[in-house]
Amino acid sequence: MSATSRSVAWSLPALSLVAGLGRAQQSQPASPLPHLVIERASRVADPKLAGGGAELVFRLAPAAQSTSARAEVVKEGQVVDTLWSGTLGAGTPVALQWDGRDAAGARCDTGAYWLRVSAPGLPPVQRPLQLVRLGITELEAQDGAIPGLDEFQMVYFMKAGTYAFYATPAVHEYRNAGPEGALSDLDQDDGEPRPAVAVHTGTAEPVLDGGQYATTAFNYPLAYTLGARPRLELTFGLGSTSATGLARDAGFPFAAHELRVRCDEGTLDPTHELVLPGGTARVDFPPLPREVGRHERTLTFRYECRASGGAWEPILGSETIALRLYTLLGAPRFAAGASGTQYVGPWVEVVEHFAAWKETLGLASGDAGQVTEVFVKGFFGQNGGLTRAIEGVVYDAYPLGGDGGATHYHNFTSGNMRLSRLLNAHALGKFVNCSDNMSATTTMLSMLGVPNMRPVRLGNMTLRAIWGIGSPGYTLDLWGGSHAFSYHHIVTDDDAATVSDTCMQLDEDGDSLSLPGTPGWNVRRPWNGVNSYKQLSATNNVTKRLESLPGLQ
Amino acid sequence: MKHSALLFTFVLLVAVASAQEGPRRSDLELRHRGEIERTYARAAWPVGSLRAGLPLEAPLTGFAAGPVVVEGELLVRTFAFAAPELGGPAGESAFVLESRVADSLGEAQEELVGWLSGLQSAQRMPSLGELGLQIGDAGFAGRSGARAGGLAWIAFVRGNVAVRLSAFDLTATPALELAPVAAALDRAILGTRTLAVGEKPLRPALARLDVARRAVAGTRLPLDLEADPAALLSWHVGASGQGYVERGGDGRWWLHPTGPGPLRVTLAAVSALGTVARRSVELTVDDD
Repeated sequence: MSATSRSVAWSLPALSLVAGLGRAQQSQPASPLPHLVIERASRVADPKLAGGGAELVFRLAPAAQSTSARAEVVKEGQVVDTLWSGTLGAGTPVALQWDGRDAAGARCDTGAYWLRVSAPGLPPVQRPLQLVRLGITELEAQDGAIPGLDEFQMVYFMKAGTYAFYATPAVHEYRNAGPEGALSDLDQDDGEPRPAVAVHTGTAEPVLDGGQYATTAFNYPLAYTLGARPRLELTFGLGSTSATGLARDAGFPFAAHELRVRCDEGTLDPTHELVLPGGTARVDFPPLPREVGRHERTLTFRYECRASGGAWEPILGSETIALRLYTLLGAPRFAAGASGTQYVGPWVEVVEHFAAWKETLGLASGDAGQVTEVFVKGFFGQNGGLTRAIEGVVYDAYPLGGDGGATHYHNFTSGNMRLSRLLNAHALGKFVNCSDNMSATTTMLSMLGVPNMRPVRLGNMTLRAIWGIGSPGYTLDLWGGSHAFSYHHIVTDDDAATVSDTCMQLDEDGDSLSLPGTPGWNVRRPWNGVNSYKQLSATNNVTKRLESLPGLQ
Repeated sequence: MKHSALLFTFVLLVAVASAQEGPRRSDLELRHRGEIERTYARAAWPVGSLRAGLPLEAPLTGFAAGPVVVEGELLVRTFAFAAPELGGPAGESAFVLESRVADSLGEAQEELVGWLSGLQSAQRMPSLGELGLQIGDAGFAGRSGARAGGLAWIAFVRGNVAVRLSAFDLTATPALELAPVAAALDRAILGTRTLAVGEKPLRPALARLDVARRAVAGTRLPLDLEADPAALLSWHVGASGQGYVERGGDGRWWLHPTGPGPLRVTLAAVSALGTVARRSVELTVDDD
């Protein structure tokens, strides 16, 4: 017995030699003439897809006979590769998959081929095979299938170590087209398939190429409102590269056949599903979770072909692309005029902070109240598995090594929050005061889609026991012999009927004028009444005033 | 009469528009600022001469300056230790310098009032004079809890120039001394030209900024620019469209629109003396 195959053989027949076809025919004169049968053969193949290749299944008929035979790939009359040779047992099919390489192991060009099976003394049989190159070079997130604006470009705030705002490009958030001057968009210059681009997990800077924004390969996160059904527009590659380093076309379209794309995780728009080089298709996905947070998805794309009027047949293989999606409570909100200096989209680092807090704290985030709770507890840190405050900041007070509570990130003259500096490892210093916290909280929660967030300015306060952000616990001596605020900033989303505070906790032990204290989170705490902010924070009658949302830098 | 009314209306509109350029302050904030001005005796602050600016290259020996960040009229820079004997390991952040070269003495003082107003403690901070520091026309400092006698910040005005120095983290670098740095900055301001009464500091030349008024997302457009070649350029691209500006290999500035919508490109040019000039151009970006 001899059977050779360079390609993968799914099943080899149990071969048994018989004396000879002639004798068999003599003993069974009524039997039909032996002949080769191709049971299944790929019409279209892209061996560069994962699991891709051309399928060939053949056998000898009728049963109870055998012969030597070979299976080959032929192009323009020349044998490109011998897939298998051996004794073909009667009745048991041989199943092969061609990996698209020639006899020397080199990848073959796109174009027309034949899959041929031959045996001595028998008429050969063959089927046409179109070798193509399939692949997605761009993904563009679009507003979801549910009407209304629910998809937003995300924003980075640094570039090569300097502050520069960059929104993920609306023309495509995913691009994998090869570097400038590449021979083709789907393959590398050695003919090997270009691998999918991994998700960009950096949160401060976009993908850079030598200090400039990368334009040919990136995979940026997407942002939708919670519960949205994401819609992606896919763009297909134009061409391939030969193993010898020459640009080639994609091998399709070809006569009387058409191709379409499928996605395991989504539904293709039937009016927008055909695949053409450089063309586009559109796919809708199931609703995202109804919670603010981060969601990882791996999309698997497959392809099908059909002859005109025929049934769709699968093309072997698939390609996978990983995506990262963030969900927001609603459309991001910014102070009026803030859009003059940057695109008004959610910042990646803000939503990533929130997602990490939510995951660690194990809290729900499906409505404004829940989002505020996650945010206040996450921003303040030092609880539920969080070891420190956001970016490691500490309240600016003498006992903590700071000073008299100076503002470092909120600019009082311009009314702007220097959020990019805070998020860049507290680049303007470790210490923060109430205005810094207020400014960060209102802008970040607004960016997450919480409506009506506004600062509340409080007048001078004769303080009770407080626990400042980043400090080890409660104090009644905030400033070293003094314990009063000249003013205080907190936030609200209901015109100060309730207020939230990421800067400090109040003491809920029933005696907030002595230590130790009992942690009291300020998550939408009522302004008036028992255990209200006004009652627990100060002994004087504190005035309050709503202010406008800060600008953003 | 009719013309007078129209003129009055026009003047009123202009006045309203001008007033809206700055942040709108609540009554409570205005009251607080008033209290701060009284607490720190603003009315008695010595008034110096108008100065040409604060050199960006002011000699702050032993510290390495980070990039200049333009925030409105304010310039912000972080300085790192370059010489460990100054209080911290080389490369570690030492302090943040904020500065504004204003057109008038009053504007510079307003900046100082803003910094003092942001202090949450009800305690009055000492003046630089009370600390024995002869820096600026008027100035104040915040003591640090990191070490006895340490200063966490120093803020002062010298003529029309407002300066604030803030230690990055004195708990990590307690030996850092801000006073010599502030004194060096003050000397640098005094080393610039005294301006005549009514004269404004010279802003960098920024004669032209233009670009095509319509573009398609995903393309790139050359920016037509005429600016002082010595000026630092800082680009801001905003509004509901998207895009960014980069310098090409050919040395030209290019706008890359990446998303549809109206787009405003603003260029801030910063002179060697810390003055800022701005120009903006608006365009519409169409979807690709």
